Amino acid sequence: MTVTLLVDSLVRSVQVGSLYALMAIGLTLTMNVVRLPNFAHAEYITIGAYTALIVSLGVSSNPLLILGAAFLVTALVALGSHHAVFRPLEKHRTSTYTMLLASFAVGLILRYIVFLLADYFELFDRRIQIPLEVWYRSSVVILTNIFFWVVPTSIGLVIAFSLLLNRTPLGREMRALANNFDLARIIGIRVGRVVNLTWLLVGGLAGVAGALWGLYTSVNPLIGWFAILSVFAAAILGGLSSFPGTILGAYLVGLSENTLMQILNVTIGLDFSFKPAIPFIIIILVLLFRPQGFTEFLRSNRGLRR
Amino acid sequence: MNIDLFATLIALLTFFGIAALMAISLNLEYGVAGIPNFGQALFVSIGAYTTGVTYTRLLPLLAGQEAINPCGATLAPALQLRSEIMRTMPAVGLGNFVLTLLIAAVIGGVVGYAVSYIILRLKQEWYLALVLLVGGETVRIFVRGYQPIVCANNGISGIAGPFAWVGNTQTASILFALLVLAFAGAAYWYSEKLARSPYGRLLKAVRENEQVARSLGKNVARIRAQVMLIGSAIAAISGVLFALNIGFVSTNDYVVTLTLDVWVMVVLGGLGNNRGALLGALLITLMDRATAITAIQLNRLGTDIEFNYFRYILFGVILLLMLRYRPRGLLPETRFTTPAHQYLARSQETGDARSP
Amino acid sequence: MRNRLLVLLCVVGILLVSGAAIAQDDVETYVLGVAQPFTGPLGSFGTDFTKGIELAVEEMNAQLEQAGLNIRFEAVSIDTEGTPDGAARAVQTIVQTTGAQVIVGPLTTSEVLGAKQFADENNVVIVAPASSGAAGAIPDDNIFRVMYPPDNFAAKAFAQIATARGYQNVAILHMDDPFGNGLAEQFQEDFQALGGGSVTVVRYAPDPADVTSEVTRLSADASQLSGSGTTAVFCICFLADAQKVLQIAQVDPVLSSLDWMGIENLANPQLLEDQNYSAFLQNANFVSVSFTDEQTPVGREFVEAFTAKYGSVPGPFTNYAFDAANIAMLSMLVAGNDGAAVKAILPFVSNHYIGTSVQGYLDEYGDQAIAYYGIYRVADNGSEFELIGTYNGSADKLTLEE
Repeated sequence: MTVTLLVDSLVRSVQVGSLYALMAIGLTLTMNVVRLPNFAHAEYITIGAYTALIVSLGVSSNPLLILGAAFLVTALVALGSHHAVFRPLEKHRTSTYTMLLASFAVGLILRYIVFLLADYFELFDRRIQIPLEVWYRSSVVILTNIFFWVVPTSIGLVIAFSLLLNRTPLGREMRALANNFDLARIIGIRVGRVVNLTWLLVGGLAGVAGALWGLYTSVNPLIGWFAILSVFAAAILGGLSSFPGTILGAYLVGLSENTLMQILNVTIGLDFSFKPAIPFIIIILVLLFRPQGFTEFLRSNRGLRR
Repeated sequence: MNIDLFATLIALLTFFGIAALMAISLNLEYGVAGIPNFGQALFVSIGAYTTGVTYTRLLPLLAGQEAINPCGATLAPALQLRSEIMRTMPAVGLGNFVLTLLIAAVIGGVVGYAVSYIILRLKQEWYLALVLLVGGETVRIFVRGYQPIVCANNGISGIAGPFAWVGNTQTASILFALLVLAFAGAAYWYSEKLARSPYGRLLKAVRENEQVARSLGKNVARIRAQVMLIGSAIAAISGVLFALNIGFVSTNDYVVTLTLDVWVMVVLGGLGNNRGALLGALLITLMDRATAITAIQLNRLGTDIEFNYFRYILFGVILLLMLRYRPRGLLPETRFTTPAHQYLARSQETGDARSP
Repeated sequence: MRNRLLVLLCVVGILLVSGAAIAQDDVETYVLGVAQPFTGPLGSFGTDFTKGIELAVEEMNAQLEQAGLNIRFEAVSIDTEGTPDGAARAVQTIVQTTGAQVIVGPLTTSEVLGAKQFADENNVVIVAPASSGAAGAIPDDNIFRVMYPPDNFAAKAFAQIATARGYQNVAILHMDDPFGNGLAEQFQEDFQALGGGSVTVVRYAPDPADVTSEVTRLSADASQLSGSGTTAVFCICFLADAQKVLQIAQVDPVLSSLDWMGIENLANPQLLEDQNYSAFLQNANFVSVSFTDEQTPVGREFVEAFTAKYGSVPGPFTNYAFDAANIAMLSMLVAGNDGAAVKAILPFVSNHYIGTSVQGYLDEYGDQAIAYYGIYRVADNGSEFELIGTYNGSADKLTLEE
């Protein structure tokens, strides 16, 4: 395999992996603090992408403004979904499968509202209007401004989130909630406030991820739904509890979808049309043989569970 | 509006019967035995793909002819061959149908058993859920990519039901509806018997408290694997009927949405309750047709709004309302009592320990 | 709970009955069923096709009224959800609810095949305007795949263009579905039959989230082929996928230095709205084979009428839906609203129908058998496509003004 092919696929893996990481930590956070496998996370991503699109088409081309808008709008949608649906259900002590179905229903509603609006305003497969420029060129690799927007922003947000979780009082409260919900309430943590802020954070991160993902590809109402299984794979690799594990998992998924796929294609002629199966196979293998994923390898206190 | 009520009724009964089979299968697995099977799409597709294979390779053999490759250049002659056989040789068609059902049930059951045996030994139960959900999609991607089975992404058409030899279409559709309902009835009867039997009570005990059941010496994993076998076999049979009802086998129909639809039926109707499963299947079938008709009418109004999206939104809203206000479903779970319970109840009433 | 259910049933009942009340007295209304995917990834096609069909119905009704005839048509649409099962239910519902005997649609071959059994058994005629997969080439059934020419014509056209332009090798990127597979295979055959050299193929799964690996591979293939001769890239992709492809290709040194060919979906002005893409395609001497409104006067009239009514140009293949609706309606005028009679007369009507693109000549499978394409290139102003040639399928003749 040529060097260019390898280097290029590694660049892509990093790009995609960073985006998956940003999408996956929100999912892991939801699973831990709120105990909910949230299928509507896919729609948060889509809503972030559409917010970015609308802002870029109608208001401004400033990337900071676009990302900021995506963060805000999606954060509010996520908080809204919590108050409208998940909190009333939780009060009744419903089972995990009921919550899963509920999250699927919320996702359905959000997705088709987006479809309605996209259909009415003719916003299918439009591009976010940030002009493309090449910022680095060498003989083996070419990096565009999109790369420099996607990767540092994703990594930066992930690091910022890590810091928030480990260094701030709010982060401590989140971790306490994740460890033992009832105990946390007893020792006086204002559970409602923490949960609300968690949802805002989850939505915001997913929104920015969606905006960047839309920048990286193009925007349509199914953009989140098509990406969500890879995101679940990343979260599962992180054992659904460890953040470093999730981030590592995200890059692993990105790598297997790009570099591994490329290698398999060149060596054994595996067709690219099987690429969607890769995150699935990862999920199955991890759950069968090592369900805890990467949680025990990384012995840091950055996870939510000790 | 020019509604053909009779035809609509027959069509709805057929869809209801197929949905009922799927719902009963899931109710058996989750409602009675507590196994969260998120892999309906996989088991239904096993039945459908089996149908695709038998109707193209086995059917000609049964009729004493050579099987023609149904993919690629020989597509039309292969199609003509099987259409002709189904139309003119009812015994062969019926025989093939029965064989298809048996083979599908066996394959579905074996896969269900194998899958459950491996996974039910794991700690976290919802692993099974996710692995099956994802496994179904993986199988679909592979079947879509390879030529054998259903001609990759082309699919196989001309999969006619066992009544194709009947001259009158309406009669044939009525017969098929009755056949489907008969299967649904049989599955219902069987599930009810199972639930009421000592075996069924054992399953419920296992569902309620696994540790206690295990401490009583019952091999929990093996019992659940048996239930998966039965449930998966029923699901595979429903897949055969599903494919015959459309007449075309393609990987596009066996997606995650199918699994979620069946879950909605069971949750809606009532968990652990066969009548609930039937009710859920009926409601979903009716809702699908009713919302389609409503969307047709609304779209006729000529606005720019695409009302077909509202069908999904409505579906989501109804599901949420159900989960919020009736999390146990519309029909509560029936409580089965044993003769011992009844004796105890009566003797407490009369205060006499002796009389029956 | 029960009261609410009753109210809901009443509302539904009112809606159902209201349709009947709209009908007039002395005019007979034929319902033309429209079964298209309105939801799902192909939803934009459904919406666009329906607009084209409704335009056809409007024009037909105007003509009938002017002629003093007492038949009118009404297009009633239903969503197929884009799956074979959905298509089967959709066709079933619309036939059983409105009495429609003739359906325009569905869109894809797998949907058409899903609806086939019901249509064949119930004397319902299916007039599909955009299905070309080989799996649907079945004789003596109720399915007529009109207007959209089978892919072998496009393949021949592209093969001849490639030869005329002196391409020695071609690197293909196509989606893995019956259309993509068929066209790529056919092109390779035709190209090599005309003396072409090597052809490499990269497939991608439908509805991709991300195509970077595939495009990287395409680039490597193209680079390798370039070593042994002039190479061009052939993109058999849907518009959304093409946008993702171009985003990567425009900075790829190999892909941005080669010529590009693309299918009709890419000859879309929406693609040129992005300056970078426009520049890229111009630089790549991008050429596409597409419906041309220059062939028949009806074609130009259609585009003008559509733009006037809806405020935007018709999307790709919408003219085929327009033609299909006309063929269906003309057959119904001749034979009445009776499926069996329409089935019998439709080939004759189609063979004598010249619509927006070409004569509707059907083969023994009931599928469109001839083609006429326009060859398009990006115009110098970079914001639209211009016609630079034609391909006549009947004569297998390419005329290119370059």
